[in-house]
Amino acid sequence: MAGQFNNAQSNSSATNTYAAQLSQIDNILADPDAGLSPALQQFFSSVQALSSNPGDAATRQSVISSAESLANRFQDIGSRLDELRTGVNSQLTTYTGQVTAYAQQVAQLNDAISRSVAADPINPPNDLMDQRDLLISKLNQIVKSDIQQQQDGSYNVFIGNGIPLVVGGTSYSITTVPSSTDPLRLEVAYENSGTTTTLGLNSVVGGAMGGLLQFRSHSLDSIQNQLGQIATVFASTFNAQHQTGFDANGVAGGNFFNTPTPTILANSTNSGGASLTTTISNVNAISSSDYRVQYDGTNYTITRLSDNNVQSFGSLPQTLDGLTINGTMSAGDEFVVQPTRNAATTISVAINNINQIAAADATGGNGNNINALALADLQNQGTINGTTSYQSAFAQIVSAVGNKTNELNVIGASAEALLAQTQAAQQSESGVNLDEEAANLLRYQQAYQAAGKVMQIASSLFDTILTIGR
Amino acid sequence: MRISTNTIYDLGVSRLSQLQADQAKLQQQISSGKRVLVPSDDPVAASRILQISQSQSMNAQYAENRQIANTHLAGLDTSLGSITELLTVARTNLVGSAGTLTSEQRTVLSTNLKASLDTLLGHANTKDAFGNYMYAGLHNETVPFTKTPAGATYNGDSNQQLVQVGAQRRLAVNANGDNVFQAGGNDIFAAYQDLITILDNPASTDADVENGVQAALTVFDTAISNVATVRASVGTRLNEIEALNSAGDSRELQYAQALSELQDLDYAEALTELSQQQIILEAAQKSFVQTSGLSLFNFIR
Repeated sequence: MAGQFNNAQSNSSATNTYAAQLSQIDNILADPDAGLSPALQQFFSSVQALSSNPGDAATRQSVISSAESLANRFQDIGSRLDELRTGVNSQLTTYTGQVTAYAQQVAQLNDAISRSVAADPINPPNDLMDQRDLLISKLNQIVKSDIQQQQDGSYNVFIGNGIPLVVGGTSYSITTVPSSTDPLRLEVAYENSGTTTTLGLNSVVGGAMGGLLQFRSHSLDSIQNQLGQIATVFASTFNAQHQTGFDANGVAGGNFFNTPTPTILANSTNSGGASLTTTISNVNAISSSDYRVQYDGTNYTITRLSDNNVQSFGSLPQTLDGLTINGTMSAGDEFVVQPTRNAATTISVAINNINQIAAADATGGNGNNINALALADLQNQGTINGTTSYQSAFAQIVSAVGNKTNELNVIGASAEALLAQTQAAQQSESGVNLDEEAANLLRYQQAYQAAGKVMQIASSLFDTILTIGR
Repeated sequence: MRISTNTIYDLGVSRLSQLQADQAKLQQQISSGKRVLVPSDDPVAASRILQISQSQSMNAQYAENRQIANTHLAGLDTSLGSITELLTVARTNLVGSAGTLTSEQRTVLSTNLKASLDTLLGHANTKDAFGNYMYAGLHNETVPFTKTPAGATYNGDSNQQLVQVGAQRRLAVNANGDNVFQAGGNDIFAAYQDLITILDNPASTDADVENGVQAALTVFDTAISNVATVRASVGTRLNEIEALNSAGDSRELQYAQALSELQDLDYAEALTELSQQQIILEAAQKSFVQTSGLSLFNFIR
C-alpha cells in the first residue's frame, strides 16, 4: 500500500513540476506584448512600406527601429528561457540537498529502529517507523525511490536503476555538478567515497527532480533551439538578400543583422590542442538539433542529438545539415555543437544609419526599391528547413508547447486523481474516522457503564445477602 | 471502506479549489473576451491565430501600399491631364498659324511657344506628393529634363517603380519621362525648339516656316496621342487598385471573422457557464460545511 502511494506521489509530482515549468513558456509565447509574432509582422510591414517609398527618411528609420524591436523580442524570449534554465539549475541543487538530508535521516532512523527491534521484537517502534514513512513519502515527491525492507526492520532505499541511497545505517549523498560538456548545465551526480558520477535522465526518474530533468531535456532544449533556428535563419537569409542590394550611397549592402554563431562546447577532459570550428554553410538546411563530435583516433563520429543519428568520417572538415565542422582533435576528444541554442539571445541589428539600408539594386536611384521588394518577399518564403516561413515556424513552436502543456495538464490531473485514490486507500487502512472513533468511544463508554452497573448490582446483591444473615 | 476524516477534508478542499480554479479561468476569459488565453487552451487554434494574424497584417500592409500607389498614380493622372491640355492649346495655336505669317505673327507665335515649352518643362520636372521627381524613373532625386539648345535631354532612367499592391501583384506607379515626352524619337521638346529656331531666324522663308509648323504639328499629334496612351494605362492601374481594394476589404472581413471564431469568447455560453459554476461552487461549499460539521461528538455532551 505504501509503495503504491509513494509511486503515485512521485508520478504526480513529476508531472506537476514539468507542467508548471512548461506553462511558463506557454504564458511567454501567448503574451501579445512579448510574443515574437507581433514584432515579426511589424518588421515586415515596415519593409513593405520601405518598398513603397524607398527614398523616405522616416520610412527607412522605421525599418531600423522595428528591426531593433524584433531583435529585442528575440533576445527577451531567449533570456526568459535562459532564466528558466538557471531556475532548473538552482532547483536541482536545492532538491539534491534535500534528498541527501532525507537519506541521512532515514539512515539514522534505520539505526534506531533496528536496535529497537533487536531489543524487543514483539513491540516494534511504531512512531519511529511512521516518521520514516513520512520521510520516504517526502523523498518520493522529489525523486522516485524503491524501498526494500530488511529483516532487522531497516529500509534500503534505491533511486534509478538500483543506485543505493540508504543501506541500513549508511546514507549516500547526491549533489549537482556542471555537465562535462556544458559548464552552465548542472547535472545530478552521485557521490561515493570522494568520486562523483553523473546520473543521467534514466537514473533520476519521477518526482520534482525527474520532472525538471524531463522538462529541460525534452522541452526547454528543443524550444530554445527552435527559437534560435528561427533567429539564425531569419538573420542569415535577410542578410543574404540585403547584401545583393545597394544602399542609399550606392554602396553594396552589408549585414543588416549580426548573425548568431554556433556555440561550441569542449569537453572538460579534452586534450590541450583540441579545437573545433563550425560555420553555417547552408542556412536553409540547418536543423534545430545539437551535435556531438567525437574522435577515437581513427574516425570522427558526429551524432545528431535530436534523433541520435550517427555518422562516421575519416577526416574533417565535414558538412552535414548545412553545418561545416572543422577542427583538430586527439583520440578521446569530444565537443558538443549547439548551432542555434543561443541564437535568440545574440541576434542584433548591425546597421544604425538609414542610408545603409540596401533598398536599391545596382542601378541605384532614390526611388529604387528593387531590393526592398525582394526583402519584403522573404516574409512568405519557405526559408526554415527550406519549407517553412519564419512565422509558421514560430506557430509550430506555439502549437507544440500548447499541446505538450495540455497533455501534461491532462496527465497531471489523472496522476493527481490516482494519488488521491491511493491516498484515500492508504488513509482507509491507517487513517482515522472521527465518527468511527466517537462510536467506539460510545461503545466503550456504554460497556464501561454496563460493567459499572454489573458492579453496582453485584454490590447490592452482596449487601442483600449480608442482610439475610442478620 | 472507511473514509478517514482527513480524506473527507482533503477531498473537500481539493474539489473546492478545483472549482475555484475553473471559475477564475472563466472569469479571465470573460474579462479579456478571449477564449484562447494561452496556447495550451487550444493549441491548434493558437497556431491558426498566428497564421491568420500574419495574413491579416500583410493584407493591411498591402492596403497601405495601394494607398501609396494610388497617390502616385492619381498625381500622374492629374499631371498628364495638364500636359494634354497644354499640348492641345499649343497645337490649336499651331493650326491657327497655318499659312503665311508676318514677322510680327512669327514673333508672337515664337513667344507663345517659348512660354508653352517652359511650362511643359515645368510639368516634366514636377515633383510628386512625396517630394520626388515624377518622371525621372528610379532616379527620382535627379531633375529629369534639362533644357538644351536643341530642346531638352532626359537624365532619368527607364526603370519602373513597382509597388506590392497585393500578395501576387506588383504595379508600376511611375511613368518615365523619356517614354512620355520622347517616345520612339518623337521628341516634343525638340519639336518646340526646332520651330522656335525657325521662327526666330529672320532668314527663314515663308516656306521654311510653313514646313516647320507642319513638322511640329505631326510631332504634336503623335505626342498628344502618346500622352493619352500613357494616361489610359495609368487609369487602368487606378481601376485595378480600386478592384484590389474591394478584394482586400472583403479579405480583411474574412480574416477578422476567422480570428473571431478562433479566439473570441461566446459570451452567452460563458456567462451561462459562470452562473452554473457559481451554483455548483455554492452548493459544494454549503454541503462541505454541513457534512464536515456533522460529527458524532456533537451529540456526546
